Amino acid sequence: VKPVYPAFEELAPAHVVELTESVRDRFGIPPEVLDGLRFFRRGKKYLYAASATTPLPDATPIHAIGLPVVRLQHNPPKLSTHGACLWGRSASRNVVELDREQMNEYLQRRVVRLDRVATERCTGHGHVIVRWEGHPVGVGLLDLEKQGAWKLVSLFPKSECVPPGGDAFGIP
Amino acid sequence: VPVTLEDHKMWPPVFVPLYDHVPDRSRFLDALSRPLPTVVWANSLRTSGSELGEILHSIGIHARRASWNGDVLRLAPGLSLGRTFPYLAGLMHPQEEASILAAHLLDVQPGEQVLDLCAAPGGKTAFMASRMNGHGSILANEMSQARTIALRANLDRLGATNVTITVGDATRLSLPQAAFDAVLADVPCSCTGTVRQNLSVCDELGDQRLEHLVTSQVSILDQAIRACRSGGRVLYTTCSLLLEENERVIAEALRTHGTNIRLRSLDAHGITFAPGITVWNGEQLDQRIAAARRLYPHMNDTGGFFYAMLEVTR
Repeated sequence: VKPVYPAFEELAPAHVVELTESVRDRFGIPPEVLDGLRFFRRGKKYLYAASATTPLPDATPIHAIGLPVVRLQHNPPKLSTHGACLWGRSASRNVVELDREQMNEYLQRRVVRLDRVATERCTGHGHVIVRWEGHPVGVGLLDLEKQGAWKLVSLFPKSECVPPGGDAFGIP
Repeated sequence: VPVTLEDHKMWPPVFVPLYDHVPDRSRFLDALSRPLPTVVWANSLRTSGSELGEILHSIGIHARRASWNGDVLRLAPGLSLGRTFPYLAGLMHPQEEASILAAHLLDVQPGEQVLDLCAAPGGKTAFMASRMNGHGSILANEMSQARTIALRANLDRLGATNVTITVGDATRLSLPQAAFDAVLADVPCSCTGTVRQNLSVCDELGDQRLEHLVTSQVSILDQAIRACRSGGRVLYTTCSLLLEENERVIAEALRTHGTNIRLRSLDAHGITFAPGITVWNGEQLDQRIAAARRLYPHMNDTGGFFYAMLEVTR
């Protein structure tokens, strides 16, 4: 049987360290987060983190392994939404904590205006991990407005986003 | 409450053969007409039942922890949680309680090799992954490539790193033999137990479809037993209440595998089960099947389900 999906390529640890270096450096994620994980690549799009491999059936296509944590097509590689949720609790910088109103704007993919307090753990323009009460939910792009204030451009996935006027903290 | 012939006539035809087997049957029809409670489980990779309860409370949602698992929370019926923060952040997953119970009963442990033969949409797979905390592995197979979209989306949102997904027909997979510690065979079925969510489910079942389903179920359970190591366990489950898809499939497995398998009793604190049916219209089925468990909708305010735990002893 011809596999439906091309084979996954397992990457050597040294290669993984290199591929994830910019992400770990940007967010202050300790190298220990890589411990116990194996990394795979299918094509050039994502780096997949898997904590285990499994006995496999013969001649059966593998659809997915582990979690897509880093998007490799960006230069430097970019933390994915799922990567942010996996490692976002251990990130020490370039993290923004939003309040409920701001989180609703972020989840609706609207621009979020941030005050100085919200950005105090940020080193400057670029990707940030977005959290509420310590719970990471995705990635945003921190940018400086003309007036010198910081804004957060939501990179929350379109397919998951809260519709305009919706409330992620309301009774559904 | 005395049960009259009128009551019998009101039962959906597909359930009439069960009339003499349903305990406390006067409440059965009443349960079918009521909406199911919304139930969620806390993703222990990211939070706990108590913390999730507090978050939901702060949103204005009252949650009661299930007696059989503190990470399982019962909410009011009719809630649509797919655009709430706890859902989007992968802190929880909404799932019918009887279905969560299936994943709970298999009782997977960190470090085990687990096989989930019919995995989509992935609620049970993700629940097991959360129990394993990244240690050990799950092979999650799904026959329908289209259904792997939901499977993968759920596993990704809930942060499961120890799952490998394959796409294949579970009746024909060339699986490694005696390789897994625990196998979940949550087989495709008539879904007659989900009648509270979908009343028409009982109308769509013809003899030919049922026959086809049973053939697949027997075959998938056979695959599950062969893939399980000695001393390991296989949990066969359906969301069906029909004897043909449940006790008869187990009886066939007992016939095929003889002393190489044995049925284990199942229990969950605070849950009332009915035993597997062993006498059907005067016919004696294998008495060991009494160790299997039926969940009727009115017994615990859930959907209908069937569970049978087989220990592989070869």
